[in-house]
Amino acid sequence: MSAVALLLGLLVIAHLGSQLVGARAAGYGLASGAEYLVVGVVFGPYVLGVVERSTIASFAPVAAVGTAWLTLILGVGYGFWGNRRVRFRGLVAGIALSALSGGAAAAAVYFLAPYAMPLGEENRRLLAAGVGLVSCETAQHAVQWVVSRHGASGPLAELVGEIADCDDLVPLLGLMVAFSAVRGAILPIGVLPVALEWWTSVLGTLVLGILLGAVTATLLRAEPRASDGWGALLGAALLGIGVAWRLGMSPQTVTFVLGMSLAAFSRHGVELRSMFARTERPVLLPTLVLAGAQVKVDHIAPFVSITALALAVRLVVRLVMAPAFAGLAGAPRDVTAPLALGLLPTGALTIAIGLVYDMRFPGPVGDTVLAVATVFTIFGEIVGPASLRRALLGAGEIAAVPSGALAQSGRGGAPEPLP
Amino acid sequence: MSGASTKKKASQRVAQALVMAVVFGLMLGVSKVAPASKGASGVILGVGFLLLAGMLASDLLEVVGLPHLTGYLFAGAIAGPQLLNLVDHDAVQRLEPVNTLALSLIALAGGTELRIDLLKRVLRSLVWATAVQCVFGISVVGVAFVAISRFVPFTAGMSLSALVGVALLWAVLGVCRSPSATLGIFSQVRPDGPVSRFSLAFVMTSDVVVAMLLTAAIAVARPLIEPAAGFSLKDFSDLGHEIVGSISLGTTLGLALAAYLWLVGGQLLAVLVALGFGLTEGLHYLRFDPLLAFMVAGFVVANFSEQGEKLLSAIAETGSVVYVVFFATAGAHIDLALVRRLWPVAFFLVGVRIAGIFVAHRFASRLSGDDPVVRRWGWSSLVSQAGLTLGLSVVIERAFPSFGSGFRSLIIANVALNETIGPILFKFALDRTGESGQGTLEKTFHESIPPPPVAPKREPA
Repeated sequence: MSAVALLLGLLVIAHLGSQLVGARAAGYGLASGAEYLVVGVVFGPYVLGVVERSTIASFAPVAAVGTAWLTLILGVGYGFWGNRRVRFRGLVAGIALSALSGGAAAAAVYFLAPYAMPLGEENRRLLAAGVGLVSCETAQHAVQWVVSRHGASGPLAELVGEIADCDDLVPLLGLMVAFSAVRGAILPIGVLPVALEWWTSVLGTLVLGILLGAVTATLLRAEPRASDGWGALLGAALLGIGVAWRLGMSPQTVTFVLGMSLAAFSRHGVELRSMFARTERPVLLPTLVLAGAQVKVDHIAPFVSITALALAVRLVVRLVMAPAFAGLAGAPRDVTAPLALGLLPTGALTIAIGLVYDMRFPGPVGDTVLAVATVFTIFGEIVGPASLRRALLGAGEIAAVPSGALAQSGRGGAPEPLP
Repeated sequence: MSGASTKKKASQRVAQALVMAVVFGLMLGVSKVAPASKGASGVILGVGFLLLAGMLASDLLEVVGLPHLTGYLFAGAIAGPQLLNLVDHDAVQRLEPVNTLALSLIALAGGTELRIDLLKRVLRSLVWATAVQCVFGISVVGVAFVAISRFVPFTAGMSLSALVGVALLWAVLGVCRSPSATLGIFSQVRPDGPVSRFSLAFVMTSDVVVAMLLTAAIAVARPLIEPAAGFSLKDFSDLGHEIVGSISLGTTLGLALAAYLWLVGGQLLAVLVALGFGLTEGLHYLRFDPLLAFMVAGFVVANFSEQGEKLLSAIAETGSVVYVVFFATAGAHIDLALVRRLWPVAFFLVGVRIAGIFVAHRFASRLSGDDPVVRRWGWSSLVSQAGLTLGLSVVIERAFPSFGSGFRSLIIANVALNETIGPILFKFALDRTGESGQGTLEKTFHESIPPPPVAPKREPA
């Protein structure tokens, strides 16, 4: 079977699966998105084996572009909740939660790694960094899904939304450093990155993103025809991705910075955010399916121990910080436990980082990071939305609704467009 | 003219020139630091660069009245392997699937633009123009080829009968047009009027005519070139299979697309991309003609459902991206060294072809009683040649390996000239007749964006 036909088949199955699972799971609060991941895992080499790893490898460019486009979308919307800027406290809270969560998980894995799997020092650092990076996020989609589905409104809902929006910066900057620190690897995308000094690479990533953002904003300022506008956006993004891959930098960070600088330089930030939101789902779907199919776990015991440790650290950090968040939002203290669990979901960014890490650092390190990201996403989407709903109910920001009414009226799990 | 895109201020042009310098500077820097590497990264980088450089070059060349397609070709040729090598040979080769997708979307758009009432209006012109262009065009170009054959390297030592056979094949490719170039100009200037209507109908329907002519020419030329070979009707049977199969599959696809647009309608762009990649592969496997199948699909949607506008609008949104990638890649493909080597012969043959098209058109127009404006300018759209001609030259190369390679090289040199001159002539004609800008103008970028969703409320519960 040809690779193209296979991908198209998988996408159709994932789409149908999404319709079925989304509708059935409405009552349990399962936000849509993870089902694509699960479809990929099920059809991947380690469950049904319909798709071989070599076939998936031929889609590395699709994954590279898809993940970078997702981070471009995040960059354009960074610092905005709805159409207004996030407040300073939301920004600080998001960055702090993300940095603490990622840092603590990375430290824990770094010290556990020698007992779990035999790795050299560099791989041990890379594994710790990778698990740290996929431990940072609180998924915007899950928060938005709960807020819009239950009509939540209030300071806590806003603060959680702002945290979920602002925490993307830390893992993407971390990814930039991780890519810059390791030089000369041969990648599945077929690139032999140039051995740049790490600080040159970091600086280059930031400068490239800002430069391309300014270029795109200049091109869009001329009020071109609709198709010209898309051409400029796509061209700048692909140029950034290509240059980053060729120089061994992180394409995802380049496009994230590109998005941020585009939103900053352009007079049409509101329209851009709305426009990019429309492209998110078509890109997310194949990316999640490919990520799911790419998941590989060779040794269960070390994987389980690393995942359990990182998950525990994520939970502890959230339990520690939840009272502060509740205090900031003026919510009662008894919402802290559900709030901590409600901040657990991870989503598109975590999977994107896991997938790109697996492409950049193939082998046990990349495989483990992607598998951990997958578990986080599935676990978070099962636990998170229901807990966040409880927290918002406790804070009086959701009107109490008779049990079952939501399941009947709900749309079946598909998230609303990003605010 | 093209609406918003033509009303740019001088400051915007300066900004675009600066951005162009930045983009080229960035690519030059990257090429120096990290020389070209094989792999998909080259394709990603190449597409991104060609998109930006093509758009900017087209905008800057617009100042002197040149069509956008010329800008795309120019950017591709400058950045391609022959000159700056910013997009290397490997990347150009790997862009083939992207081109396939672009061509399928172009064909779909072409079919959607073709309406039954339009065909009825120009039917008389179409029949006369096709007949006269084929008979007169083939005769003139064929005779010119024989006359200049002693300067054509690959005909050295051929007998007169073989020479006549080769000239016949050459002449048939001379009546080949470029649907992509015609639609590219349409996408830019949005024309409406007698010349654009005639051009659209003629160029889009010429695909089938040329395919049939080429099959006949190969069957006739084979015994002339290879005396041991006999006349065979097998090629006609294969052609029948290809045409009927393509039309059947295209009709089915059109009905399926119409049903999708009616029932679902969402994520249309993703569906089109999936169709472009997936179905083209399937069509190649079945030995059908993807160009014809997609054109028929667009025709069915536009004429036998109420979803034509929806489909056309979705395809129009991809307009620039598709045309820039297609023509900038074509520019990068241009073998400038070959053109330099063969330019005297190529220029002569191109000149004769254009003269033949002009005379044949005037004659056909007189016979069919066309409007004076069509009689005067209708020939201008018939000069462009691009991917279709190159594709057919591959068929000839495979059928006649003894001289096919040299034949194809000369075709490439001719197509390079025709695809540069043709769009300029056609746009000039549309501007002169006042048809430019008379069609439906595309929305500007910011007009096309729907209003953002309402922000979450801020008041406490």
